[in-house]
Amino acid sequence: MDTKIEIKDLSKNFGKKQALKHVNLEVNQGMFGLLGPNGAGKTTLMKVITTLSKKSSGEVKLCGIPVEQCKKVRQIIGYLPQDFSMYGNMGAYEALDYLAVLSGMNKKERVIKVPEMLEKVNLGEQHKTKVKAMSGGMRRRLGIAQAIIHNPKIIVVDEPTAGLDPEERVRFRNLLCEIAKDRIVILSTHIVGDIEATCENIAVLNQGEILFRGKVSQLLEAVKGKVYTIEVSTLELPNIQEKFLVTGILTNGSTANIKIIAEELPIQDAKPANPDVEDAYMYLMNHASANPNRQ
Amino acid sequence: MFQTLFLKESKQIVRSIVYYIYVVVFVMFLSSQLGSELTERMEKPEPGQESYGTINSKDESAIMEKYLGELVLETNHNSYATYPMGFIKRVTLNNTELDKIKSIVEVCTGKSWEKIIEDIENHFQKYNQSTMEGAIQAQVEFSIFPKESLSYKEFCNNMEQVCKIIGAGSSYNKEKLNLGVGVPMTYEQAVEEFEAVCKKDRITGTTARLFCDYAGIILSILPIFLGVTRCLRDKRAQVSQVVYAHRASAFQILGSRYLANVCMAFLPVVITAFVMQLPYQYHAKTIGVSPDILAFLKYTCIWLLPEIMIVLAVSFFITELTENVLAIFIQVFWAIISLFGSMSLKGNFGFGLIARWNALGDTNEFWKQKQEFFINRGFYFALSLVVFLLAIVIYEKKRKEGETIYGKIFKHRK
Amino acid sequence: MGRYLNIGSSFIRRHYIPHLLLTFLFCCISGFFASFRNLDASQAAKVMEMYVAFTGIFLFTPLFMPEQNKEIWLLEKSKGMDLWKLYLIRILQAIVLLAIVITIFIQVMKQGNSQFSFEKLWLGSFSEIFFLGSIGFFVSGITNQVVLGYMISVIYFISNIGVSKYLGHFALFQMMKGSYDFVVPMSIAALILIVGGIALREKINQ
Repeated sequence: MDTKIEIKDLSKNFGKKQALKHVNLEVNQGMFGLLGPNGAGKTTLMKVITTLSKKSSGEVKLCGIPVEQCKKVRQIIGYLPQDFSMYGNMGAYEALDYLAVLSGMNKKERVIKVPEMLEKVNLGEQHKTKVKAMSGGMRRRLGIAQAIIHNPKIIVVDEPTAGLDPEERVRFRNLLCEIAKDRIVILSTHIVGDIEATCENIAVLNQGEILFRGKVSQLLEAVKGKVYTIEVSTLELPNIQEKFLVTGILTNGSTANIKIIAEELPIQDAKPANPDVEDAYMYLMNHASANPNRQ
Repeated sequence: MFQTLFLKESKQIVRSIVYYIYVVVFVMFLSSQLGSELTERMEKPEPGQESYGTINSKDESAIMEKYLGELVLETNHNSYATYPMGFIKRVTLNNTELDKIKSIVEVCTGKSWEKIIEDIENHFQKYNQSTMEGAIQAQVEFSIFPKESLSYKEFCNNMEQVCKIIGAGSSYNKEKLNLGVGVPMTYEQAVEEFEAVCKKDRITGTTARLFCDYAGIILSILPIFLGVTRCLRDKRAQVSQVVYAHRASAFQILGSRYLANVCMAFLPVVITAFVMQLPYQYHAKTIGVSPDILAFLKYTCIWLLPEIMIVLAVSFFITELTENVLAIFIQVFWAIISLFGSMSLKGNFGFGLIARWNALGDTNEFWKQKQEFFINRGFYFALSLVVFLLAIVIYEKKRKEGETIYGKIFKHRK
Repeated sequence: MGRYLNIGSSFIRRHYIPHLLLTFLFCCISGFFASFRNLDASQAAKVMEMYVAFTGIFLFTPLFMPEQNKEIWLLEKSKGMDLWKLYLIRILQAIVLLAIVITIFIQVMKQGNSQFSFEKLWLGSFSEIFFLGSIGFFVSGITNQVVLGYMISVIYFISNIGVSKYLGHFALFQMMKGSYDFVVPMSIAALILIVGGIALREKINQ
C-alpha cells in the first residue's frame, strides 16, 4: 500500500457556496504544505480528507482507501484541528490516554506509548497539568501527540502554529519535520514562514481552487528577477503602494527600504533582490486576483 | 475498547459536580419521604381493631356512593378536577351549568340540594378540620347514598351528562369509574392482605415498592441533567472534531457514555434501596417471616432501571440533535405531566413514565396489575434502546457531514 | 443610554431569542393546563405558583449564556464597560419581561371573572417567580454552567412539592395556602442572589 493521497476532481458545496472547486492533488511521503489566505478552503479540504465532511463530488483516496470508508481511513490518519482542545479537567496523560483508547490502542500499547509521546512533545514533566491550565503551545503539543500516537500513515495539521510564540513555533516545526520522515504530514497554514522552513512540496489554494502545486523552488522560479528593493521617501510610499505590489517595508526615519515585485524594472534606482517564498506567494495571489479565470 | 471507554467515562462522571448533586438530591428526597419507619402497618391484624385500612373495590354501589360524594363536594366548592392533557386543571362552572349538575345530583340521590348541604355540614362537623389529616380524612370518608331505585347503568348515564358539562378529562368518565374505589377492609380481608404481604412480598417486597414509587418521581427528572451535561461537554470543551476523527465507532463512543451514565445513575439508587430495606428485613424476622433479601434489587431493576434508561436515552437523543439545553425543558415538562397526570397514586400504569404505587401492602391488587406493570416497563426498556439507536444515527450523521439538519436550520440564521 | 440599549438588543438577538420563544410557547399552551375563569384567590395563586413560576427559570437562568465561552468572557472583561453593568442590563430586561408575563396572566384571570386582589397576587407572584429565577441565575453565574442553573432551580421547584415545610419563608406555593408573609424575605433573598451571583462570579472564576 503506497503512502499517498490522491484527490481527483474534488468539489464541495455548502448550499450555493462552492468551497472547493474541482481540486486535483497528489501528495506523497514527507511534509506537504497547503498555503492560502483565510477562507480559501483549506480547512474544508482537510475535513474532507479526515472524513469529517462529506465531499459533494470527485474522488479522494488515502493510501488507496477511498475516503468513503470512514472506519478504515480513520485508522491511518491523525488529525490536529485548528482549535484543538480536550476536556478541561483532564490531565495531559489522562487526555492522551483517552484519545489513544479512541484510536483503538490496547492497554499494553498505551502504557508504553503515552509516556513516550508526552516525552516527545516535551510534556513529560507536566503530565499532570490539567488541559484548562495549559498554555496555547502546550495544548498544541498535546494535540500533535494525540495525532501521532497511533502511528498513522497520514497526519493532517490545520494551522498548527497560529498563536504560538516564535520559540514554540520553531520547536513545533522541527517536531513536524521529524515526524514526517516516514509518512505524510499535511500542514495547512496561512503563515508563509511555516512552509518555507519545513516543506518541499506545496500547493496554494485560493477561493476553493488550486493556484499552484509543485516544489518550493518552482514557486520561487516564477518570481525570479521580478523582485526589487529600493529606498524611497516615506512621503512617496502611498503612491508606490498604489502602483506596485509591495511585499516589504522597513522605515528608517524619513526614508523607507521597500521590496517591490514587478515584471520589469519599476523605478530607476531599484536594485534586483533575491525572492523568498513570501514574495512568490504574494505574486501568485496578486496574479490570481488579476486573472480570476486562471487555473 | 468499549470496556476501557466505559471505565473512563464512569470516572469522569464521578468527578463531575452534576453527579454529586444528583446523588445528594436523590438521597435527600428519598430519606425525606421514607425516613420514618413504617412497620406499624405490617403487623398481623387483630380482631376488633377500629380500622384495617382500605382496599380497592369494584362493587357498584360502593362506586356510586363514593363518586356521588365526590361530585357533591366538588359542586359545593364549584371546583372540578379534570385531567384534559394529563395535567390537572381545575374547572369552575357558571350558574346555569352548576344548576344542571345540582339537578343531576338530585335525580341520583332523590334528595333536594338543600338537604344534601345539610348532610355535608353534619359530616364535616365530626372531624377535626384544623389538622391536615382530619381534613383529608373528612374528604376521603365522605360519601352519599344513591336513591334505591337508581341502577348502575342509569348512574353511568347521568355521570356522562356531568362529564359533558365539566369538560374533557373529568373524574366521572367511564374509565375512571371502572377503576373502582377504596372501601374499608373487613377483618377477614385484612388477614388475607397481611398473608399476601408475608407470602408474596415477604415484607421487603412491599417496602421496595414504596421506595420505587418515590424514587420514580425524582428519577424522571434527575438523569436528564446527567445526559445533557455529558452530551454538551464535547461542545463546551471543543473536542467533537478530535473525537470524530478517531477510529472508535459511534456505537463505541456514545454507547460507552450512555452505559456509564445509566450505571452511575443506577448505582446510588440500588445502594439507597439496599440501606433502606435493612430495617424491614429485621422487622420481617421479628414477626417470623423470612424476608426477600433481594427484593430491593429486583424492584429497582425492573421498576427504576427502565425509567433511568429512557430518560437518559431521550436526553442523549435531543441533546445530540440540537446541541443545546432544549432537552431539559421538554423532559421536565414530560415528567411533570406524568407526575400530576397519573390517574391514581396506585397502579393503573398505562404507559405513564412514572409508575406509581403509593401504598404499603395492597399486595393482591398489585399482583393483579402486575402484567400491566411489566408491559409498561418493558415498553420503556425497548423504547430507550430505540431512542438510543436514533441518537447514534444522529451522531454518526454529524460526524460524517459536519452538521445536523437542526444545525442547518438554526445555526445559519444570522 | 444608546450604548446600553444597543447592548441589550444585541443580547436579545444573539442569545436570548430562543429562550423568549420558549417562554412565549409556554404561555401559549397554558390554556391546556390551567383554567382562567371564575377562580378564587387560592386557585388563581395556584396558576401563578405552579405554572407561571417556570417562566422565572426560563427568563433568568440563561442570562450568562454568552460567557459560557471563556474567550468571549475574557474579551468582554477587557472592554471599557464594567461587566456588572452588562449583566444588570440583561437582568433588567428579564425583569421587565417577567413583569409583562405576570401582568398578562393576572389580567386574563381577572377578565375571566376571577375574584382576587390584583396587587397582592401581582406582588406575591413577582417576588416568588423572581426568587425562583434568581436561584437559577445565581447557580449558573457562579459555576458558569447554565445546565447546573436549570438543574438546581428545577429541583428546588420539585422538592417544594414534597418537603416545603423545612424551607420557612423561602418555600414556594405559599399564596395557594393564603399566606403572603414571604413577599419581603423572598424579594430580599432574590436581590441577594442576583447581586451575589454577579459579585461571586468574577471572584470565583478568575
